[in-house]
Amino acid sequence: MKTFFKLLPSLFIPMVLVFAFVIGYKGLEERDVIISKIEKATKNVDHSKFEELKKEFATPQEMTEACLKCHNQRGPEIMQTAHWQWLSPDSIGGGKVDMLGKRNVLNNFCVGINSNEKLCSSCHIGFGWSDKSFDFSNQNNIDCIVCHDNTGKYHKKKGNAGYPEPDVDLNYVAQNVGPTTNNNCSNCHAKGGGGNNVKHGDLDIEMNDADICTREVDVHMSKKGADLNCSQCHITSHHQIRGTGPMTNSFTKHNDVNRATCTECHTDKPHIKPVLNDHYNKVACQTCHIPRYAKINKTQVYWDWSTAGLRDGESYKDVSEDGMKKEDSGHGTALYAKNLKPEYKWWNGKTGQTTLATKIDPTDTIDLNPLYGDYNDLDSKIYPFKIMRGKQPYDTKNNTFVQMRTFGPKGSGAFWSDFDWDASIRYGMEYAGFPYSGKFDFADTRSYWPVNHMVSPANEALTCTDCHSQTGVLAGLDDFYLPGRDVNNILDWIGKLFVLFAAIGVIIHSTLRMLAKKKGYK
Amino acid sequence: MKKVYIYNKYNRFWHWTQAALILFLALTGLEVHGTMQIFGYENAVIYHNNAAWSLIVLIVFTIFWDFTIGEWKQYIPTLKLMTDQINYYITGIFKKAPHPTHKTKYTKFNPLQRMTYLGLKMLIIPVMITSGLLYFYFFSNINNGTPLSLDWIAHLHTFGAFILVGFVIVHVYLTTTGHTVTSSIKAMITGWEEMSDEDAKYAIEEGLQVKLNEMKAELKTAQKDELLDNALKHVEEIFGFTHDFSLKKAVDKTGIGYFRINKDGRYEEVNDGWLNMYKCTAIEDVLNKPIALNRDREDIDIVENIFKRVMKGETIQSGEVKRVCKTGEIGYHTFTASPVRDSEGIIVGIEGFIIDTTQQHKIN
Repeated sequence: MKTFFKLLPSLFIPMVLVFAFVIGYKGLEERDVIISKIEKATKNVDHSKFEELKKEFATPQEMTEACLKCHNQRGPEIMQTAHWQWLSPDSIGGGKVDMLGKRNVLNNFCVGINSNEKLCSSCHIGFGWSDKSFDFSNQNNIDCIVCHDNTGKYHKKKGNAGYPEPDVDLNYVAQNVGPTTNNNCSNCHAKGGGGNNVKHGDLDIEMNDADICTREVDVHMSKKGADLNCSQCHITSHHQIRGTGPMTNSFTKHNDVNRATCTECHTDKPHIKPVLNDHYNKVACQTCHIPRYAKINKTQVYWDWSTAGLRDGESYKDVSEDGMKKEDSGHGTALYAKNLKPEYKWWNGKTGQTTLATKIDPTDTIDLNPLYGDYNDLDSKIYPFKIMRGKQPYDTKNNTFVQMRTFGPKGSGAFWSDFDWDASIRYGMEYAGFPYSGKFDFADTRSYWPVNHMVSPANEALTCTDCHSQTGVLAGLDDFYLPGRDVNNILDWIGKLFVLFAAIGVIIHSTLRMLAKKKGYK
Repeated sequence: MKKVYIYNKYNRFWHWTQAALILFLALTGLEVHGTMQIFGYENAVIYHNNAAWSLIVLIVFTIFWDFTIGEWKQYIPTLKLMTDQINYYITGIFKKAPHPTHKTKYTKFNPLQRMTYLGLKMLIIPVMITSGLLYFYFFSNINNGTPLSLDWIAHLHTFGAFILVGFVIVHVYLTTTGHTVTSSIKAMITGWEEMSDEDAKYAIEEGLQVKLNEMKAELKTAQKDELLDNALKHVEEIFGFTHDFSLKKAVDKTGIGYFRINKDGRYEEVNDGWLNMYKCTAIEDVLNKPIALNRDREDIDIVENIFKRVMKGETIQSGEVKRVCKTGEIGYHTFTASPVRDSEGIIVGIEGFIIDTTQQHKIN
């Protein structure tokens, strides 16, 4: 005890001080302030007072004409947007700039819109897009109300070229327009692929429901959370809305056009702990902060068109008990999943695209929008993705994908009415102006859907060992050294053997010493 | 059994802090490596970095300190007794043979330790620090955005860690090979090591010898004069007299020569005045030479006759002799000669003064 006190000032206290630093020091705090959020748009004009909106509209186009009488600069402005054109200038992988979009790019849900416009345009901000003859230059064809309806009474009729349901009171909705609400956006963006949450998986119409959308579902959109509107992040100027989807539009970190990013509000040093901010350049915010998606409703993860068609001349329909597997003659096999873990990929924001002209190698699974970037690419980060897998028809002779007509009346060649693959492909390809050899088969495809919504509260974010462990979520992303996950087995074994030999040597030597002592050997 | 002071406070502070930091680095490092879970991954990363920086500061300061204090000499590698040390661990230790080397404050390490610790200081630890810094601040400091791959630097760092763990195991075990099983560890804590009487004697003797040498080394400097002056003063105080140098100064000034010859007739001492007269440059030319040196042949008998007379007890108050200088010149001087007696009164030699008279001879 005396020795202990004697050694206190020269040995123990200095050592305790050193370790107090080692355990206590967390690094210099470098968090940046969060900038204040964009204010919600407010309704500051009472449109019900305008005489122009009280007269009877024979067609929806007349309603639009009335809107544009006052908003006389908005027509040309809207006609330049991707919402209207379903095309935007895009450079695939940073190469030549083309006009790409829903009009010509293929996916592995319903494949494409060519020859199916009458159905697909239920989500177009226009009236009357039923086929190629649609006049994109007529501003009266713009559907203002679909984005500015504040009544909830406006609905487009399914399969009717974007026209509203006949029972919609056009005067009522026109007199009650206002800023875009979450409902306006989600009516299309949550329902892509033919149903709620089917396509993206992170966009669910029930995210607008105050009770269902808890903070755990989406911290930004929850009424108990930040209570943000879509347009508070997807900031809009002259009807150009920030936040283009990468399925149909690519971008680079240095040529970032039209993106909505986390850092606009949160900065690139949002964490108190520097060790977390250090991840900024290699790990996207979404990767840790969206540990799961499809939190409310299921999303589709697999679509096999090859099982579609008649069985023994009869149409069929099977739905599994839990609703997670659907099979029918019109669509083939569909698998759904809920509360999914994203898959993780290096990505620099650039994607490729696939059109009817793209030559493919059908022996391998084809990435419809291949992601560019890898660990060695300084612009790349790890992003979370929903990966949609499926099988879709391709021309076995031309080695291109094919477009089939799905939607149409009986006898038109539409697959969903006639269940005739050859006829539907022949119609679709001729319509789109691409050759079809008459021979087709089904190829495996993948498409990548970045998961950006359904951000979880901070306490539910991934933790270190979710990635930094051998069984972590990045187990498949193995093109780089990740501490805690990767070891060099040979060096590790040599090192362990060295330690083992040292220990064995010590045991043998000490045993011999003890034996020698017992014997009293001199 | 005796206790000898081996490790000073800084030795011990440095050793235990470094040991604790390295063990802590191993634990947190293995957690980052994915081998075990103790602190939580995030804490393991933060602690590992903090401990690494603490260790770097400690090591840099200790190296500075080693050079300042001269402690670096402990690490000079040597092959002397290396085989004895190895043989001791292989066979001697089982036969209770004595340690082939002695542990003292000034040579703490045996040849094996010197080699091992120098290897640690010059190779393993620098490699670990360099690879660790590269790991965190260059390759994986992910803000850096470097396209270089992290794996090889991480593998090197991990491998070095295994080497260090192996070292620690053997190092801890070898502490039990001291005089008793715990004597080395106790010494590293308290500074005092238990050892056999023989080893302790050696260590203490070496300690005294080193101190003595240090004091001697100090005396070569200006302190020497000061010390002698003080001693003289001390003697004066004790014996109550003041020494007067005026006689010596007068002798030096007038150039009178002094000589002392032993009973064999050989020069035992001469002063500068004597050397000047005989045109000698160094006293070695004269010392232990017979008195027949520097004489003409016919004068030798005269000189030897005078020597014999004085050795019999006679004192010659004045005489004159001819001398042959080293350069061959002839000179003359008068001299006195009286017997030198030891403490018992027995005549052991003769001594006297000489005054040059060559000028008078030339005039005459």
